[in-house]
Amino acid sequence: MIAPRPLLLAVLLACPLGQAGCIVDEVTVPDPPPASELAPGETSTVELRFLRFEVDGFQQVMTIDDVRALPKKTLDELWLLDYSLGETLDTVLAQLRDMSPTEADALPQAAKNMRNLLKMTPDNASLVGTKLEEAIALAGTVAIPPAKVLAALAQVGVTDNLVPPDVISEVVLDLLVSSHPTAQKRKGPVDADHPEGLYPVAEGSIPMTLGDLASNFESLADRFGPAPLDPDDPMSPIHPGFIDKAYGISIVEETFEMAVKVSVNALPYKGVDLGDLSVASVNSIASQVDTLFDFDDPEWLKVEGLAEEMVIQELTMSIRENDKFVTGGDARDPKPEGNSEIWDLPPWEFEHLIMEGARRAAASIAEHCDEYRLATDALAFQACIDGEGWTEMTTFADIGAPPPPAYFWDILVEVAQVRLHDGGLAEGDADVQFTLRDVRIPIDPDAILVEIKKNFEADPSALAAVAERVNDAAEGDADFYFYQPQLSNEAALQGDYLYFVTADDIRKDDEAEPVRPYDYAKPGFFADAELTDKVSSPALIDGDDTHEKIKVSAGDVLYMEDDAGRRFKLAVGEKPSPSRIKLDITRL
Amino acid sequence: MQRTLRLTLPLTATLATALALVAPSEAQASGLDAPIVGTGQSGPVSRDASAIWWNPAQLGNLKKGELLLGGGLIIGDIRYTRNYTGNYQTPDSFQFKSPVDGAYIDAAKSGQQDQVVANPIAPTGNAFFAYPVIKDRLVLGAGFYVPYAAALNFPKTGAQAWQVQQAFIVSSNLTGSAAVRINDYISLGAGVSYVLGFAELSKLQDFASVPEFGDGLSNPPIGQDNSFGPDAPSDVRELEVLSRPISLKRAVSHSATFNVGLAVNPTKKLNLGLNYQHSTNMNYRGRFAIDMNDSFFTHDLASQGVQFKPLVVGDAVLAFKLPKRLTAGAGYTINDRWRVDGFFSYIFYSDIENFAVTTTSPDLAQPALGIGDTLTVNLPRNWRNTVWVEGNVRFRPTERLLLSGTLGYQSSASPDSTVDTTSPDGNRLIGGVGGVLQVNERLGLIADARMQGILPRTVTDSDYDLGNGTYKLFIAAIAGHLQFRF
Repeated sequence: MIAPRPLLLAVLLACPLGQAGCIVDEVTVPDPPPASELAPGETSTVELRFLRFEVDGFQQVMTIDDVRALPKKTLDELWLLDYSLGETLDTVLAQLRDMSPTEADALPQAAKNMRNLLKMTPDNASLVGTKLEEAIALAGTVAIPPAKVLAALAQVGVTDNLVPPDVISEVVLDLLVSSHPTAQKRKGPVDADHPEGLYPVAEGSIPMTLGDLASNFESLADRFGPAPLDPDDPMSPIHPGFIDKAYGISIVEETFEMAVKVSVNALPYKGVDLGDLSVASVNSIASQVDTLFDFDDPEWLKVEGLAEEMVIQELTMSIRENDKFVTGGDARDPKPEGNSEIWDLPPWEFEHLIMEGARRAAASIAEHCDEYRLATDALAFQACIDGEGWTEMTTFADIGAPPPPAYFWDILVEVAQVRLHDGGLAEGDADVQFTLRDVRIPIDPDAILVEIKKNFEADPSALAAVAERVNDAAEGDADFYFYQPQLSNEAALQGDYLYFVTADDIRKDDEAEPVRPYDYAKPGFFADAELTDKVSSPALIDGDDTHEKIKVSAGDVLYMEDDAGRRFKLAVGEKPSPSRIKLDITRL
Repeated sequence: MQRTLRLTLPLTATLATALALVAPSEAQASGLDAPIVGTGQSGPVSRDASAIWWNPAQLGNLKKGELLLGGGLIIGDIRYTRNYTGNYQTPDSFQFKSPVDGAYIDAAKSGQQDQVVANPIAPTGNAFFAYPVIKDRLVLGAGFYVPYAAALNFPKTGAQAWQVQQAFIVSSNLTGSAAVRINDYISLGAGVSYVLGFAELSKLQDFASVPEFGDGLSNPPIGQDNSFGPDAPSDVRELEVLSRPISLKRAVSHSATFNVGLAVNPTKKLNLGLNYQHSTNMNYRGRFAIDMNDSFFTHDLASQGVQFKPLVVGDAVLAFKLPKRLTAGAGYTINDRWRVDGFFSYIFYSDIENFAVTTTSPDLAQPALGIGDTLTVNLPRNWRNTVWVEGNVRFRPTERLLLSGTLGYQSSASPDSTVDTTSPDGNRLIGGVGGVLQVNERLGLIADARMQGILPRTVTDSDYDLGNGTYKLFIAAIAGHLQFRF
């Protein structure tokens, strides 16, 4: 508001007379002095403050939008749990198997053939073109339906699946999924037990990250598509992957909220960027990870809005076949699988999957012999399988030639391979790919939450990284910072400390990547300008044993080097106040 | 976090200053009163143009037109020795929940602190005009004067800085009056005033006392139980990080009020007067600026929604009510040389319960904490009604010379619970001498010297230890007036 002219004039006239009307100074904030690099020999004084804002049980709530706003790197590095694909595969394969004929007609031929294999029973099995064709046909000569012969051999009902669906799911998990490198190792913090920062993934599971929740698993196809078995080896075999496309996979509702309670000094540490002698802020969260969460509080982590079913809007899976027809074996040895070359194929190939599926199905077949007689009661045909799955068919009375003996799986894999190429598909063209839409898979959100909490409690660092990101207060590029231990420490430990930054202290950009490399040739504080006598150490204070640190008091002189190789002398001055420190910094 | 700005007003005590040409009559008595308005000869039974303020009915007794012009100088000496009686944490720490761990208590912040002194010097002035438009019946008048004023200039870093650092507040009246002389015994008068106010002040705003700040910390997303707010105990107050310099500048108020008076002359020697001055609602509208340039406010908690600009500026309104008052006076002419008179005022300072300060700025808003761009804060005053009594003896040694002496008393408006250097108040003793030299029939020269002071007031019951300590106040005013009669 502007004073009316008469009054304003009056005040202006009053000022020269006696300061009346002019005694109140307007509050202003001067522009900060420009930061500049010290010249060699130049000294500048810097004052640092250590302020504690100890928040207790501070609840950080993140909605799904908040989560999505986090950098992708942060999201992808926050491992939640290893999610078992068992039920998911069961449902997906069941949906493929049980889809309506109309839907099935729209499938590619290979997928149709795959579907038929999933549905294959003794009753509908087409053995045309296989070694079994003639053998089963023998059954006709004894007036027994071939389906009964096959069912009896496999000890299943004539309308039962020759290979049970659960066995197929299990095999797909064990061979196809588990052989994928992404399903074997996940990234985690580097420690003594995990020097490369790689952790095993539970078998039959895929590692689920916060990024998966946030992005509706949009990276699934990338992560579980083709991938080298050894990323570091350019000649490494390539796993073809098993997910070609994934869209709209969600296990969270829009009301999703993740609330985590933290107890922390919420303020950043104040340090000095020796490059320009500016005061910088170092994010304090990472250094407090050990005390950040109170796992004794059952509500230290709350997650709401986990759905009770996984919704898959669209998922395209694929299984590759070998480019050539690989026959089943014909010898008992080597036991227990036999001599088929299929066993030497990569585990993710169709032939191997079917072979293993049949082998596992055979495991439930008891040793037995089925005999089929002519009307005269003369034995005409005998089909036997022993406890190892070795199958032998014998004919009598010269009614025809039986197939050579083989393991049950050697026989069945031939059927599967032939059937996979029905419809005129050439060998090598029958890679199976099928797309499913609107699949809903029941999940147990409580169990998932329990698993997530258990994992976080075992390693809270990843969650701390999110807390660090959400509470990102870093500013500038400090080379060291000022710290005062908690008052709960013994008196001898109290005082003023200088901490040399670690790689974790480097400020992160919007993508959660460090804004600069950690290029310190000689981290720490030294007693001499040549930096030969280190006087700092990573002593344990308030749970931190990673920072080079040193207790200082007025009159102390230290030497250090920044990440550009410039050396400095630090002279500790008289304390301006209990929570402040003053340093005279000279560039050498 | 909070952007509540608690602005205290420097009311009472010190001295009133002049608004230049419209010079106030300044300094200050109890509450907000300037020590004198008009001359030392003015009062509710005085027959001069300053009756426009004192008792407009007395204008009816004027036989001639009169112009009264005055100026002067006011000198004040206000001293305060703060006495910390509570516990205080080390100012550069930040413990927000009382009781604070003993390790954080600042043993040095206890007991008496260095005395702070304000010595304001200010010019004064006023102007009154009256003219009988109908002889012996109707007199009209106009006046410009300053009945309320205060100026303070304490050290910015003194122990009083959270109360006030600098202040300048005036309220001036431009009044038009009319008086009707009913007969030789009774006159009635009334005046209507345009009230123009001007205020500036500065202090350290303690965010620990701001309710929105405490609420912001306790509510989501921060959710930390804390002791901040208007009832904050001393151990969470006066922290460096929360002590933010604030100024209110160029605040102007426009309002209106009135007064009515009755003058009765039972005999030629005895004069009685009664005046009612109505209250005035003051709304000083100006600009505020607050220094938020601490990384705590500008950066460190930005992710929690706390991020102020280093300098927050915006509009501010300082609102309070000037009190109504009832004044009764009596004068008796003993003989041609001697006269005595005096008055008794009852001033309804209990009208002032608090000073309300409303600040508005888009830069105040912190939506994440539920804080909008407008904040209203009340500073409790809970003042008491006061009395003001004065007695004068006037002696005329010659026909052209009149001498006067004054003794008086004003009771204190501020209770111990709320007194501070914004109103360094106390029971005051008043003394003054004056003289009138009648140069000729038309021109009179009037000189006055007036002093008032409080006995050292030691306060130990200040709420939250905000204003405990010893207050001293002395104000001297010298003034000269020209009185033209025509």
